[in-house]
Amino acid sequence: MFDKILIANRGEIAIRVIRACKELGIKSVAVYSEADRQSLHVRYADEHYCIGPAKPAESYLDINKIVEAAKKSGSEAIHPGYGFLAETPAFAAECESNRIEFIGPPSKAMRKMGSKITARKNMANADIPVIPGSMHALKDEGEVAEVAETIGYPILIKAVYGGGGKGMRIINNDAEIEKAMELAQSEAQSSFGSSEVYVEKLLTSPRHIELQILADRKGNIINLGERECSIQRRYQKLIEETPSPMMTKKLREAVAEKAMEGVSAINYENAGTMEFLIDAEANFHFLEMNTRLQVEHIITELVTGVDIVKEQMRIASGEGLSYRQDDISMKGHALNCRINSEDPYSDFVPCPGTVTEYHPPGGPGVRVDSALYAGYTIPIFYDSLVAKLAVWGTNRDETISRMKNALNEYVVEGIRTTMPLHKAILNDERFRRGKIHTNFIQERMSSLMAEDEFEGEKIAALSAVLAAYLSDRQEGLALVPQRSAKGVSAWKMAARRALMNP
Amino acid sequence: MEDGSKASPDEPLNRLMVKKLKEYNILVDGRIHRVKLTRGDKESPLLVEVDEKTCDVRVLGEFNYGRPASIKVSGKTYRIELEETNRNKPFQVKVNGRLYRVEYGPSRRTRQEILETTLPTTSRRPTSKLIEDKGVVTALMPGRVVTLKVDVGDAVNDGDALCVLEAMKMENEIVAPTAGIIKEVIVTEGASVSRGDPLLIIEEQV
Repeated sequence: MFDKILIANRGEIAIRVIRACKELGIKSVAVYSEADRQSLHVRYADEHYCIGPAKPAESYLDINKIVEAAKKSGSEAIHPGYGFLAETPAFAAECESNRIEFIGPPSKAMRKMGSKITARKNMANADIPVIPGSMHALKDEGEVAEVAETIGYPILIKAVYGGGGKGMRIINNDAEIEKAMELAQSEAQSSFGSSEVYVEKLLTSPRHIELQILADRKGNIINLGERECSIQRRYQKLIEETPSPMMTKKLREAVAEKAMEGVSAINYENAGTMEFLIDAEANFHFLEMNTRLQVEHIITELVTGVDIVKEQMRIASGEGLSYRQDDISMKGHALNCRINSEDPYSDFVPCPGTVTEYHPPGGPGVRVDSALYAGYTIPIFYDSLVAKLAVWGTNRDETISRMKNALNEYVVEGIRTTMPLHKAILNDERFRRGKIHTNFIQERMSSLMAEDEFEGEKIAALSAVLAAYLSDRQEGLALVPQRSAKGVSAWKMAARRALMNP
Repeated sequence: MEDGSKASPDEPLNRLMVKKLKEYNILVDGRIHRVKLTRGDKESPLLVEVDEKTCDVRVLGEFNYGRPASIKVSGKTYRIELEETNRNKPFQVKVNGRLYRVEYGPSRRTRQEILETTLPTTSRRPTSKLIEDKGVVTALMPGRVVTLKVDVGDAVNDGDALCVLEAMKMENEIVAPTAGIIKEVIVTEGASVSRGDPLLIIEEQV
């Protein structure tokens, strides 16, 4: 096993990896940008190195600076987390050539899944069902129309090097091709540096199911079951769960078998996730592979008891997997809410700012992965994910109840978060019955999010006047709160208690 | 402020007599809202005018600091949480669980005043006080100005792109709320802004 690992990331995922290091007795090295001096991952690590200005391109995305920090600190391995350089083959290759172990797949395997077209070709060759569509980049409208004729409308035009829902457009008929292609190409160029696009059949209201895979150098491949991530908005996941409410033993075995064949075909190593879309007839189609640790890996950890990050380290160190497939079973149910500093009532605009009060939830089966603390200022430069709230229960109903409690207990003041949306989803009748699909948010939650922004503002203004009016009158109904000399005021404590049991 | 009522302390709010008309300018997330307390009598609820629209307000139960309260405004119930009020700095009000940053006026500053205090700079300004002017375009999120698409003197239509704000890897286009001529550009490219900060001023064409 390694003696020292550098974590090339920030926020909650850096903390997650540092925790695993500590449990294995490995020294951890944090890197941070100038905007992250006050970040928790810097405090938790054994050593820390500043690697440049706030802008990601000048710090967390700068391969040279990170490799330099690894050498300077004497780190034997680098864990990339997710995002930033986690899926950049050039970074993995740079580590390889500097004899630093990259905790993830070899650059060669990563490249085989890097572009969507290459991934589709490789998977189709390995006999994995892929979504019908083109198997090469399309040059002009004529080519798009040709593919559309074979697979039928509606189709989705996508960036070959895309991700995160950018560079994607739906096309319903021939007339829409020109404009959609133009938009997709320009967005692809500006977001991913390549204007290449291809098309796929648009599946109507599919479910997003993914398989967690672990593979070691000795050729052992195991799967840790599926996660369902159908609750998403604009291709960004919001709630994940495992097992999927739609999953049967038979289907799981079929998907898992194909997923493992897929990773075997590209000589994959370490943790990876094979993503599939499942249509109304329960046919599954390969969507893409994430060649890294995923945000939602924690729910798989809750139901299987496997510490995926520690397994990643064992694999990278050459020790190999500590589990065989027979050791793996899914017990109970788990849910994860991605809590973002975004305003669900106002088109999800980012809401970075200072967290004035912070009180995470607790109780049986509750897990919070977050870098927040009271007084922390969330920088504007990075991702809006500020906390992952995951809960485990013996069955889905219990898990949902626990999640509701946890969301009600969770106090994050000073910033707006997506928690009101999570609460609304958990209270939705169809969600509770497991009737979910990737258009769920759009279909079921639009009324919540269409709430008049000015209405709330007006009520806030009115309340402020009401309060001032009553304070001035000293009517006894509303008194100016007296702050104690130190610590939290009794008013705040009273409010907290009231909030925790609505 | 004056106290014009002779109501007894335990008299419910919605039957209080409001004898003096009071008008407030309240800034909520940088946007100004006019709130006017108008006369109520013993039998009817408090009448409040918000942005020139009259509504009746009833407080359900107690209204207190640091404790959620419900108020009924023109038949619709809202849950309000208020930790404190402060005349000198912004405070937070929650309406149905959603957080707002609120500041008391009077903040009717002249255009000259706003230009003197909001010089084009990359540094943050301490306050987001805003003049009472429909043509002031404000930032609806904190972030960095990545692109300015207009200059002083440009004519814009309702919905035209004015600038692009970026925060947390997301770009947000700020569009013209009204047609007119760009009168002032307050921010520069690269500037950091807070929610509610003025970005530019459009002079409406009559």
